[in-house]
Amino acid sequence: MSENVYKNQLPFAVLFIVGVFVILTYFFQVPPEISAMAGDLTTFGAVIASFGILLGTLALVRYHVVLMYRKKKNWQFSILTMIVLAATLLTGLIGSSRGKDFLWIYNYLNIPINATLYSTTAFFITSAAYRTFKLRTFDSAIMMTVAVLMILSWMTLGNLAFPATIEIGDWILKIPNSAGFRGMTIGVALGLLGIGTRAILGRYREVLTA
Amino acid sequence: MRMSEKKTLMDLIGDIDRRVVFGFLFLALVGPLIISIPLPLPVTGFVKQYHEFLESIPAGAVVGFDVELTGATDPQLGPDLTLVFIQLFRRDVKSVIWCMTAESPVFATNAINNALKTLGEKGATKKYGVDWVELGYIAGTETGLTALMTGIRQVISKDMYGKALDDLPAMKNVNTGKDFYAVIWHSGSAGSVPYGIRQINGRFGTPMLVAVTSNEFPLYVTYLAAGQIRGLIGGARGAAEHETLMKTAGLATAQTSALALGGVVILAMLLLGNISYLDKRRRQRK
Repeated sequence: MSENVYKNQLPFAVLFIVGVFVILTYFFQVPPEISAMAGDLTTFGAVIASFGILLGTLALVRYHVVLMYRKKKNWQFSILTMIVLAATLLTGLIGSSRGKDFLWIYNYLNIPINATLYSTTAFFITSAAYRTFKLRTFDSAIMMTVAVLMILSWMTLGNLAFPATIEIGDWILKIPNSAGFRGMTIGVALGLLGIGTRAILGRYREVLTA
Repeated sequence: MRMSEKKTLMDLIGDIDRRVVFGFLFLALVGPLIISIPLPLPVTGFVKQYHEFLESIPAGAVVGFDVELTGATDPQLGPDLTLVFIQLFRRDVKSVIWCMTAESPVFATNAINNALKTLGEKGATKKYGVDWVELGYIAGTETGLTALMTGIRQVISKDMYGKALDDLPAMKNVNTGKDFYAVIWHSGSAGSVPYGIRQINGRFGTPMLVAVTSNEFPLYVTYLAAGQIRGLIGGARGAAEHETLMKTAGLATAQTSALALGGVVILAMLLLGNISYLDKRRRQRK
């Protein structure tokens, strides 16, 4: 009985109250007291999310400590992860997040590594396009035509060789692209509205187990 | 195909080694960064609107500034972030900056420092707290933003340097999303633009300007057409167009030459792959 209260009734009651307050203040003009209460609830959300960072760090440490202790596959990388985590944390705590050492780690390790990983996608996309993007069907021919036009409209050499691609690219973005994206966005929004209403009314129990 | 069968030219075209493709693309991307290739750059309506809106912000106005750049997206949009700060400082517009990605505050600080350095004497007159305020990282994604825009002082009482918000002149009369003249959203590829559209533009009607990576650009054109955002920058190409309008050819302009040659390689590979494929299909039909 008490387990049901803690695991089901109480969480759904909280969900109902918070959901109704926040939705009311977003869609309707409500008295300032209710608006303030909804504001407080939203602020709680931001505060809880801040604690989530601490929780995430602890979970990361725990995960890697277990890997190292049990000497699971590639456990040596966990040592590296822990060293980097400790070094970043300590330089940030001792010298502040605008300190010389912290910024060195940031500017000369974090940024180049991130940028390098992201840039490699260009190489894989080119290779994948070469191997798989073929004129197999009428649909793929349409897709290829649009892709080529968009690439030409996006690159300066394309604009130079075929000035009309600028206008064509603009038209593709503003008309067919917008129409498709709007339809998709509205569909997703309606779906979310349905799921949200079901969750608030306690009809979508998976929301607590996800 | 049996080993004994001789490969035709078409087979070779259709079976180029992945490393060769990578090599061609590498040369196309790196070449223009080493040897400058000046190419004319037409300015699109999206960027023109972005630039014109920034130019129309009156001196003394306060804008909100969401910065979501990371190490991955900084090469594309970092140059534009600096450029926007140059434009704001030049026009004596104040900015209040926040980030919803933990690693982004450093990029905002770097861009501000670069802008101040570029402005020289004018930059030296700008003061923290008077001309700009950095609120730092705000956790909670859309919920965090909703809370912040409902009441900044309810969520944080100090900026990221530990100074009380009430002691900072730029924060005077600024506490909700309604108090900003406009909000500039430098999202990178964080996908957070709809948060701003829902929680700032939707609730308060505050105009928004958006800068995103080129892969996200098509997603937000629809918001521009609807008037929910007033200008849109897409990746390095958009940033280069902004540089053209500001008459300062910088890193983004150099990047567009690399992008142009990279695009040629992609188109050439598409062409070769399909010529070989169509030839193979023709032979199979025979």
